Amino acid sequence: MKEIIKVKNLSFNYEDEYILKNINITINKGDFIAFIGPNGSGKSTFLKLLIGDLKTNSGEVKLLDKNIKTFKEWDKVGYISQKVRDFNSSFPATVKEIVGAALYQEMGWFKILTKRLEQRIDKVLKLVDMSDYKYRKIGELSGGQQQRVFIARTLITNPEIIFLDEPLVGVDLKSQDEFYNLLTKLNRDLGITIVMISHDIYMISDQANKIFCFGNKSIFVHQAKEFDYVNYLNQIKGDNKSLIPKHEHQRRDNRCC
Amino acid sequence: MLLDIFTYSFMQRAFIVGNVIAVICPLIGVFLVLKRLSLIGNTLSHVALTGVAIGMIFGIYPIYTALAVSVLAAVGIEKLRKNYKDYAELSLSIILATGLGLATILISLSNNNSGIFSYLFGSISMVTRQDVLTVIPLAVVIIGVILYFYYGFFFLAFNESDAKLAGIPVKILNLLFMILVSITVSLSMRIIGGLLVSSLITLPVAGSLQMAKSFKQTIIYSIIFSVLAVNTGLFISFYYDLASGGTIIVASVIYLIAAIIYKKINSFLYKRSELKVAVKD
Repeated sequence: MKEIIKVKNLSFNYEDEYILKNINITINKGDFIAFIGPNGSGKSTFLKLLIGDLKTNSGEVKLLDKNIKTFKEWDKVGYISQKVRDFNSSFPATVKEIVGAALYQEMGWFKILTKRLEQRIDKVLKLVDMSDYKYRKIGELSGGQQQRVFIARTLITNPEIIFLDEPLVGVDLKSQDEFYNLLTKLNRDLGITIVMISHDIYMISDQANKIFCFGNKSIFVHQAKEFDYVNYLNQIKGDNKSLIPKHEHQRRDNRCC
Repeated sequence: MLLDIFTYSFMQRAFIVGNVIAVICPLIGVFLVLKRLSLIGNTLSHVALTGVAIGMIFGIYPIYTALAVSVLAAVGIEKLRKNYKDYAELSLSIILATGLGLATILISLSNNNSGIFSYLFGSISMVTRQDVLTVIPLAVVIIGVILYFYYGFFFLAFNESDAKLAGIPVKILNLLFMILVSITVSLSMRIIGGLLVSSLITLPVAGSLQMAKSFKQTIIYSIIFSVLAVNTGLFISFYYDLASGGTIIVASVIYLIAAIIYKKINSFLYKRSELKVAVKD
């Protein structure tokens, strides 16, 4: 099995407070990984360490067999941040222009779109079922549709892995379902490795094959099939199951739940 | 006869320079406005005044010194923008204050008030052959660079942090863009005047945003607005003997208001037709 990510002895701290300590993790090609855990448990931090947005204090991160410090093949990596929809909603750009911009490195001398590149835009828009919106302005679309456009923008460079940091905040439930189905399609049909932070335990444990549970400065790995999400949710106070308030993370037999 | 205006060689030069500027100002302006840095034009034009004053004191062609000083300031803004990441406008205020302070001192030293006046408010009668020969090649460079890096600049304007992941050389393009802005501002001072340059950078874009349906259209419409405004302004300036900067900007404002009214009427009609369809159903 091809290793997409290998993390060795990684530790990370903000001043004297350790967020993550001595982490050893491997992510294989074709995995669909879900990061879950309470706020402040280090999910986003770990994701940023994996894409080199933050620097490790000690240890090593290897992405596609290359040390993250010298990693250059960004076209093989997609990243959809929490802030991706945090743009100026009256920005006068069409779906085509936004998706096309990601082809920057493949454009010729002049950084403009050619017919050949435009065909690739059509192909990814079809994949995310947004072909009819090619000439629509991005700000006119719903949250779920915008998210699909950003997935298309990520897909257009044929990435091997896509990272998603809570991509569904503020998206309605029906669109969330469709979005999960799309991710599953990308994962199963195209073999794209997916790493996703989510608070939606029900959905994510259904789609993912592995669950990374964050707590106590560590990461505990579960096979999704064995993950007892009812038990996990029972530890969570309050009724709102999609948002996890801070809770004590108990550790039993190297399992967090 | 209306076309008398073109028999004057100074007016021919004014129209050439004016129309070239009418293209480059909004071209740069679209990216500036969408990056929410539209006040940069204002800052750089005040700084460029310092350059003009230096040129006049030392007897150097003032556009060259304005270019040099404003490019330096542009690099400074880009550097400060990194230091004050969350307060982008603070870096502009700092540079504006420095530029205007120095300009005031130098202007009072130079004793050439009428010369400075023409750079403050624009003057069509003062456009020289040297101006024409400076503006045209630099404008070609500006248009060329924007076309060359078109989608790079686009991505930067849309979302700088995502642009980095798409392999766009963010730092280099940001710096390059700032230099383009400072060149544009310096070139425009002759016709529009330093105090009003930023208006020609922003007003046509504001009008275009009312109706454009894509980024490309935003650029095209804003250039159309600006070319219309510059030519209207130059005609009025010539026949009524008014400062060209003022007439051009007032014309831009009128076109902007027209665009806003057009949009209001359009959306009103659209709503009514939708209502009719709904009633029929």
